[in-house]
Amino acid sequence: MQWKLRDIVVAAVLATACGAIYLGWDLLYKFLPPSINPVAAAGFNGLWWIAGGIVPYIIRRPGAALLAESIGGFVEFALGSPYGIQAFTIGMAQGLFIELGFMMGGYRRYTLPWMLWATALGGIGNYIYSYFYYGVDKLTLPVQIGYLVVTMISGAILAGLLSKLVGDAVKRTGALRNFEIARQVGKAS
Amino acid sequence: MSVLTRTVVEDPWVAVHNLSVTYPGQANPVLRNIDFSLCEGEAVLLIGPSGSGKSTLAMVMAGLIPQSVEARVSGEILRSKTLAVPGSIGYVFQDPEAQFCQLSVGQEIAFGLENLGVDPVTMDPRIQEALTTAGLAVDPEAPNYALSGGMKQKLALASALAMDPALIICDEPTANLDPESTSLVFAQIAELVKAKRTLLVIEHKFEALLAIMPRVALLDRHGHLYRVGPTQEVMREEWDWLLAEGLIPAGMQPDFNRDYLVDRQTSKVPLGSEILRADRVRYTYAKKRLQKRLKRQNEPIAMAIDEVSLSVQGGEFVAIVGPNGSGKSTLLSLLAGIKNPTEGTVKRPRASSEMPIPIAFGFQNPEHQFVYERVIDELANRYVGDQVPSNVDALLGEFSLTGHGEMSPFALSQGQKRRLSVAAMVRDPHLAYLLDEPTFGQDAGTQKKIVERLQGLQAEGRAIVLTTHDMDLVFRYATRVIVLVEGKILFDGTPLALYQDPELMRQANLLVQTGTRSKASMPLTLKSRFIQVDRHQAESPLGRLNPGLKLVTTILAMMISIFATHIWQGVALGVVPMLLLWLGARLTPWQIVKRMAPFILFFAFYTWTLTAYSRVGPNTPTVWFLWYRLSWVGLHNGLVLAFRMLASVAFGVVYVSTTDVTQLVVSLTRNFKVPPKFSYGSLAGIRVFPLFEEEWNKLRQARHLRGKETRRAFFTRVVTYALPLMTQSIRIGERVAVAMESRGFRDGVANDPKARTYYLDTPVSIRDGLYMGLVMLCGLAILMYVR
Repeated sequence: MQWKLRDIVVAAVLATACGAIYLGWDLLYKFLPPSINPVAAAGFNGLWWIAGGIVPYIIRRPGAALLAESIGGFVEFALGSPYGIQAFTIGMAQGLFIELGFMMGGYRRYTLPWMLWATALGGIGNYIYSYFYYGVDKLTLPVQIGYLVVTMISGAILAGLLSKLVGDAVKRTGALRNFEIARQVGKAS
Repeated sequence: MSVLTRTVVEDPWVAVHNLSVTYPGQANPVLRNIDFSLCEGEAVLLIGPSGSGKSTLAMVMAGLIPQSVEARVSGEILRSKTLAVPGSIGYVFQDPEAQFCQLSVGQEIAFGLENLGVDPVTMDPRIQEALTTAGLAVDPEAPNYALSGGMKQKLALASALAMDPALIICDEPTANLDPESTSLVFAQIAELVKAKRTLLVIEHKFEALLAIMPRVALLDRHGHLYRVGPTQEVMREEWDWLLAEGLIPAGMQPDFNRDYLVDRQTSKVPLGSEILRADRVRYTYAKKRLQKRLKRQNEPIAMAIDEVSLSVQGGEFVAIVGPNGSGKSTLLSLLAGIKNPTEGTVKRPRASSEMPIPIAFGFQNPEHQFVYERVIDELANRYVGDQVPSNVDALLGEFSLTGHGEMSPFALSQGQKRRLSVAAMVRDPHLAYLLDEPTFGQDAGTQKKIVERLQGLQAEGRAIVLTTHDMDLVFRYATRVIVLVEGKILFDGTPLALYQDPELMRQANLLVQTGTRSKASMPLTLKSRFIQVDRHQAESPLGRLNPGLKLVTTILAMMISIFATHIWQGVALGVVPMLLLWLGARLTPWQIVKRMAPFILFFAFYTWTLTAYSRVGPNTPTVWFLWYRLSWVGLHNGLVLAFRMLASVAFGVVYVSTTDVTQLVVSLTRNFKVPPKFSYGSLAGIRVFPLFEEEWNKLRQARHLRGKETRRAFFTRVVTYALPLMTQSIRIGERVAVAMESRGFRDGVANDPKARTYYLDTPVSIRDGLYMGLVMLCGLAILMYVR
């Protein structure tokens, strides 16, 4: 379970790429029609923590989700996200909750249900952060519940399912031979 | 299997006995029963066909296998005391893009010194000395990713030399370089040999090194050490073996006389009609706006292609040669229609129903072209399921890919990938085949197969146009050669005429030379578009603060801003970071406006949203404007939120404008005790970022060329873009990690912040406390007193 240097470097490379994707998503999100219902808009949220899905899925070390989301968020911030430093802090919040999900699996379980579960938890991190910082507290209770549920589902699909699809495809190329994802074959994936 | 590593007292410095190495997941060992040793002052050239285990042997000698790269090793490894010390072996790797972990030249060299625990005070002179010895005349503060390939390899050499290693290993240092850069690196190796340094050099374009390296070792394709001995003797006696292993082009005479190549019968293919025509084509990479400005000011615009006119007919085999950056690839893309000329015209055949894509194009990196997950789908250019079309089967056989049909194209070896991309090109008939360096990094066998297939197409009356650095290929196969220098055609004629003009070849840097010390200059076209701080801001009061603590302050400021509920609180909170930018970071007001402008637009949009859509009470006064019902409450809410966001963004801008990312990393480790492998490992990963943009653009072009069949479902598209980007970045990440470990960044040094020294200082002083206090006080005062 020890982090190797190559785990860290590759995690950072992937998280940095995700940070650039986040920035693109920030801009796309801003072009949603302003009248859109907050519950519907929450469907977009999940992609903002895909680093927290893809990196732990490949690297499979304790703290991978938190590290990836911190780096991804920091890069998004440093590249000039309209959310400023919040891009970094919300990244950590999301990463922390995804981390909880993988921790419950003892950092050994990365099957599809576990991926969906952990990345859905990322949605709770997003909800709590948005509650305090992005005015979700001003919404009525049913809308808030709707926001939370849709955010978690969005996370499970955009950050969880997508990560697994991409991760498995990369694994088939043989590029991950020296990583934990290739070693745990047959055990639980 | 077991491995015994012993430390012995004296000569040889490093020796292996009965060494065998097997990589995980592979059935056959890559090295078998090797006995090899290296003594002080020896300089050995190691050659062998690709896959013979040259790098593996070098990495075992360096101690990187099995420590950093996993493999099963058996036999005995003896290392002298001199070489058991960390940093005693300097390693220069093949890929110039994948062996650095810092952002500037000086920091890169310092990284190895830090790992050795060298006193930071003595680092600057050592960095200068290493740069001088490696023949790299650049400012230590220059960003290392902006260097050319040859200069990057020199920097790698300088980084190794700075650690004063007893043994220097160069593992195909010129594999990714053009002849000019190769000459630079070889000249440096010659200097090291002259200085009696102990050297192990792996090189696959070794001809120019034979005169330099006193000893040579030969590995065969099965991983056996075939022979070691004095260079002249071995070359004389083993010439036939070298030919048989494909290490020397077939037919070459022992004195490397190339007359036989150009002597061949000139092509009997009759020339057909004109297929491509370029008329006075000019092309610039400068953006439209810059072009206009330069024109206004009567300044010259840098042209990548300058007044090029040429015509290509059917039955021609055209090779475009010239130094890196001379515009070869640009010219090829212009001919293919991937780029449009800035001035002039390119005439291409029109697409017809019989021939929908008249011109086929092959990218330098075959991975850019792959869109499918299986080789057979790639060859059919559609998903074929279990029914493999017969023409696909035939192509598999012809390009020696039988048995690999079900594999992912990315899982193939380099040679197989290239063969696959060419096979996909020749599946459908085209009028012209344009290929960007099709033989780059390929072994002799793959080269021959590809070029001879292209020759077959030429015989059918098709036109072949390719760019290359390989003059042997030009002399042997081309019917016409175009020498491009600085975007202009310097020569356009037969290979024979070029061969008879060695002065021209020297002028265009077409040959690998040694002995001359060519000067290396910084490419000026590359801007640093990465996280980089202006010197003026770095030296401002805020720039001198501790980066880690400054980040904490920034986060605290953002947290305070969230409690703002009144418009004037928002405004006041927004004013604080603006003042900081002006007074603390010494940005001019105009610079501040420019930096904040994009965000202000966003927040104006936000404000509008809330003004127009806020839910309002029945008695709230509203104004109707067109079909919007505007409310003052909404405007107020919107402005508060906008200013609040603006404040947190502005604090972020303060941070980014005044903080160097390397210093943040150092501070995390020195002041916050983050293990160096996490902080430095992350930095090494982040610095790969600029490569993504290039890769992404190439992928888009390649997809564009493949036509509409490849535009498929969203998820599939995500995967086909993500695959090449990810495999590439994972490969680079792994190599960078190994390179870092080779420079002593392992074990305690990588885990304990106190086990290494630091070139950059990130002191914590009273000023950091003052800054934090000031920001907090301002924030709280605004919340309490501004209404």
